[in-house]
Amino acid sequence: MSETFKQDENCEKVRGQFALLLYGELSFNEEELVESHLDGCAGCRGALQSQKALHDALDGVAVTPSPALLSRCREDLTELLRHEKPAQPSWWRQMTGSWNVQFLRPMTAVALLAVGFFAAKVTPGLNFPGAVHSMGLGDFGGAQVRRVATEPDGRLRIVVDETRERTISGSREDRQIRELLMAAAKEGADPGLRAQTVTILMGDADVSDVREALAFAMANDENTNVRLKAMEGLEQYTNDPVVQNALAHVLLNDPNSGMRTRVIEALDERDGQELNRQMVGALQELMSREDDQDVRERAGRMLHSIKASAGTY
Amino acid sequence: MDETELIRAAQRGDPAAFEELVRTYDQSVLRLALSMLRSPEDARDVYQETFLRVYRNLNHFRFDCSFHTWLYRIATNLCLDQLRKRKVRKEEPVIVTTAEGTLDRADTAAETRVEGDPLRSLFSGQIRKRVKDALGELTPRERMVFELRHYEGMRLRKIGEVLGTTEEAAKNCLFRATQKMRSALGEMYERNIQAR
Repeated sequence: MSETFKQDENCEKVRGQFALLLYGELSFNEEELVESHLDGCAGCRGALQSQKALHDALDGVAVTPSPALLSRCREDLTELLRHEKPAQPSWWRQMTGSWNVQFLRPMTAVALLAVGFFAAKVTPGLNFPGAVHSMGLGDFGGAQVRRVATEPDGRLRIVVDETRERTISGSREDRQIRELLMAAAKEGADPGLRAQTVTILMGDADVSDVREALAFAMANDENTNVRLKAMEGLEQYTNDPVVQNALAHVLLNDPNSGMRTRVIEALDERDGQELNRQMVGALQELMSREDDQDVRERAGRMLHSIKASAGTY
Repeated sequence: MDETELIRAAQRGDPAAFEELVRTYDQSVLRLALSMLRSPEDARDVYQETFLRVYRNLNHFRFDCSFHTWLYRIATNLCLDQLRKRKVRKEEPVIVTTAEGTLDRADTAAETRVEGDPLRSLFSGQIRKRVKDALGELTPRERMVFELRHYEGMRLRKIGEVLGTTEEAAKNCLFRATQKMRSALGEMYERNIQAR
């Protein structure tokens, strides 16, 4: 009796695996177990045959779109794209309007180098270490921040690539150091460097320029870790319009659902602040275009909590 | 031009590159939508919306996954949303346009296999409605996993990536779907096999 029961129990388990067996989704060992059971069980061999028949019949339900439908879809899409704006420019470009930063960057660098060259010719006495406090980014025209290191006394040492490499030292509060850090956070070539500078800048997020640099990194950096760090630095400043613009951009455009989730969490943690209309609009738009169910549900709950509708009308 | 170059060109705004990307994948997207929604109009909407979203968001595609996975993620979510809406509205279109014209999808089940076999022909006639009902009984997710595995031939690992879940969860979903299909239809096949 117990043998029969054991046999029935095995049969049930084995039959439960038939679909996966037919789809070739069992591991080698699982398939081996099923095969060896089938060798000694005529009942299960019959059951497998019926499962195969079902499997084959379902193949017959496959649908192929007609060429006419496909062609209509293609025509409609072409028409739709004709009215569509060219691919969405980045948030930073939207903020700076038609001013094409990328395009102007090398020209600006050349111009600044030229200005620097002539300035050095006519004012050679200004180029001394004590003058570092008067340096703006313009003084590093075309420069790339290569490395940032924190000294034991808390001062920062920044290695910059210019026409020749130069080391600049100063405290985190020095305006020039801060500007170099902000430049590195936005344009540093290496994601590790950008993450490091963003982490340092997080401590100065009460300064509006720093928030702007962090917002830029959060909205535009190609590295998720950098974007996430920048967001951490801005979480206390969700009432700043620049931060809100950047958060709305992340909400609607960041490809990482974790980032989008974090935005909603950050908004959730806001301290009694009202959400501005743009942010509410972004949440509503998100409801219609978000692919991730969890993010959509979170956005829905947030809209519900502020008594806003879940859709745009 | 390989696919990566095509995507980069499309990201730079090259319309010919974007069109080539569309042509590479649009037939399979339309087939999936038609298969899932069984309505040419709804499938057409999903097709447009999928490629419109791809167009609008291509600049944000950073090659974290394959383009195919990304595209299918968009298409499957749109299909799932459509199915969920239908569940609420209790609508279930079954009319499809095929190469041969407009057909009720369930009517096409196993038809090609039954010629000259009266028993199987009778059996096929019985199963039409049952297949339709059984597919309608699956949850949208079960239906999607089933469609992707059975009709698109996608491996469970890839299905997991597309649906933003694990291979194991996709496997469980497929298991549930096939169990339901089997409970709804299996008995007929067992009878048919015993009769032969």
